[in-house]
Amino acid sequence: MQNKENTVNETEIYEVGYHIMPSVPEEKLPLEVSAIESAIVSKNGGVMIASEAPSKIELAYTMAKKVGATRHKCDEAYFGWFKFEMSPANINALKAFLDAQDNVLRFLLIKTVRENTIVGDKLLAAEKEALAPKEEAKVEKAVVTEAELDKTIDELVKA
Amino acid sequence: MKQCYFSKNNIKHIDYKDTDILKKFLNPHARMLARKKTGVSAKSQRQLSEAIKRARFMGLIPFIAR
Repeated sequence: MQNKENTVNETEIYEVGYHIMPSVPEEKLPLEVSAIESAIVSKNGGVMIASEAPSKIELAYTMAKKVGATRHKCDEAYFGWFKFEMSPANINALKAFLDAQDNVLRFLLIKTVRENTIVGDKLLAAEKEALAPKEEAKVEKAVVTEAELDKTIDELVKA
Repeated sequence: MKQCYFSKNNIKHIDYKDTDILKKFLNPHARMLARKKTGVSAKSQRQLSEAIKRARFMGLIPFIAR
């Protein structure tokens, strides 16, 4: 059993999320990204599945990165991620590469699944839509009742 | 009984980058809500706590907030 599983599961699906230091100018971001990408694809034989280019985000708390003797404090960073397929034998080499990067503030290397796992935007938009028509229906009802009220008032006045 | 949010929406894998969803399961102090309160299934709660902790580590959601 175990042997079978090993032969079938030669590669694993991984995802690396990373923060690039905010001190890196925006025009040099592609260089950093391609450095990480080449470490995954060409150096360690990974196959890219999905990715998101880094964009500047406000961090929820201040992070620090030690480069040499100085601690760089960061309140914002460029966050991006790669999802890829790679042999578990090579993953330590990739981790060592990312550890050595001075321009990577922090990274997170996890096992994941091939399917797209981000559903937040779609789901929340659908939830909002589900809420919206109800409000409209309420408004319509209110209009009808007002018209009815006017009618009844008119009738009362005539009488 | 309230149905589990994740099985209702057919979410098999909770992603730490989906911060808008994760925030639904935090209180104003950014602490995780109990299963008792949210009705999340045991399996999903385990995934959810992993995802929240990952998101905290990556600075996408805070460890504590006031």
